[in-house]
Amino acid sequence: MLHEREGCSILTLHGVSKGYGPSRQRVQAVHPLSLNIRQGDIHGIIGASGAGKSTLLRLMNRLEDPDEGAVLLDGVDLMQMKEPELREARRSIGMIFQHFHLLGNKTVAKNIAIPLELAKLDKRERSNRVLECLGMVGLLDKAEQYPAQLSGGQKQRVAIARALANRPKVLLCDEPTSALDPHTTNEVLEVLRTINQTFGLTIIIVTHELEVIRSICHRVSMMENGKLLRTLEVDSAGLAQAAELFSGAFVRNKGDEPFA
Amino acid sequence: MLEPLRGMLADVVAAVEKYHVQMWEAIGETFVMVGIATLAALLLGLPLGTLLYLCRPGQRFQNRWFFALLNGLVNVIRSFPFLLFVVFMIPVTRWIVGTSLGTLAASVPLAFVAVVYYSRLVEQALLDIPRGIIESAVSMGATKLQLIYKFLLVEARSGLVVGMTTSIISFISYSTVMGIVGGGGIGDFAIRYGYQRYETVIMVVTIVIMIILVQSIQLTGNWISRLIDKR
Repeated sequence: MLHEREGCSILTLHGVSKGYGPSRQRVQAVHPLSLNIRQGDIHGIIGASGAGKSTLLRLMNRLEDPDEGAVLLDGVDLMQMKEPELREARRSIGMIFQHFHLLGNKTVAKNIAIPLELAKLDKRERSNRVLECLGMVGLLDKAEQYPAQLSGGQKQRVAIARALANRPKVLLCDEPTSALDPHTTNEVLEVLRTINQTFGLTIIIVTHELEVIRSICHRVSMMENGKLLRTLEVDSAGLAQAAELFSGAFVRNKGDEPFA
Repeated sequence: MLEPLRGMLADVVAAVEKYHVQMWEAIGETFVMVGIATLAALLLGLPLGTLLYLCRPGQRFQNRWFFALLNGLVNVIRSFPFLLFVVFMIPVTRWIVGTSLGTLAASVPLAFVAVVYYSRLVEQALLDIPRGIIESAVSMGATKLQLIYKFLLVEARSGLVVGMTTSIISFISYSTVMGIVGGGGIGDFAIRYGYQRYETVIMVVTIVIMIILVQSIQLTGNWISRLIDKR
């Protein structure tokens, strides 16, 4: 099944890099690297904190502008786009975050409707789509509640529904389960897996938890000190290698994050 | 024991009866000055505070020079002792409303101070929202304007109401010195009738009115901000 996807990439980073600060104390968050994300994959990016994985993810929808290189979504280079085009393109790239970033003053349904309002859908279309998305994450009964009334796992599912509202081509996930306990982590991962299987949506997950990779990813890229170490298929051989590399990276970095 | 109390009450009734026309007029003037200042704060202070927040160094849309300019301007206006500012602004006031005397003229410097005062509280209210909200708005393809009115102002709304409540109470306090440019108002009334004419009872009555006014504004503000805060 994985081999059928070979060669068909939805998102390609080509020679991108990103540094911060003035030239003298410049910190290179991402060294020049290239990466292919295959259509329909759940692609994990794993590394210790400060490895540059979140920055790498933000290059994919230009939340951060790469210093060089190309970001191809479905063959179109985001780097060639001006603001209005880029905003349009971002609507086809969903994104969720570690701390959800829901609007606390809007109900669940209204939160999910925001991207649809930005896309200028009319009211009836909006409410239909909101219900569809709530159904996908299994929260139809929470439509009129406020985020404060939900558990962490439920909040992240609302964020997923919001990210799916505009039918994106890819879904970017920045540490989506790092603020959750193991039980709700599974709840969220299950939703992501189901969405990937049902709609063939490509999902890219940044995480520091090997368990996330193990349970839902098809491929995994390992990062260390802003460099892409390797990209592996997630099978038993790949996992073993990833675990080894990953623990090595932690030891070398004297990583202090919990190893999950 | 009730005798002195009854005597005091009689004094109050007599004083109010004697001056109630002037007193109502003064209250009306205070409402005009504070009303204009509040409107200015909403229409100009809100956008100014939002700009301060967005341009702030370290923010996603930072703009050092623009921020330095706005921030400097706000600080300069806020450094003036208010009484001096009113006098200093006389030429500007004359240019805007054609005269430097009266309630309308007094509203001009008050409006300036109101705008910069509220803008600081707006900036503070916006700083209280989690920073990731901006990132999530941008990731959804929001324009800057949409970011402001569909995300930032929605999340900051109860803070904005609390800030406005504090502001209005300060505007009332500022408005009490407007006698200097013939602006009238309740503060001027208390000085002219209560202090300069030795009508101590009038002074006390005025202060009690102010206390009731401020309390009810604060209670209303708190109530509204709680009502609209769903976080």
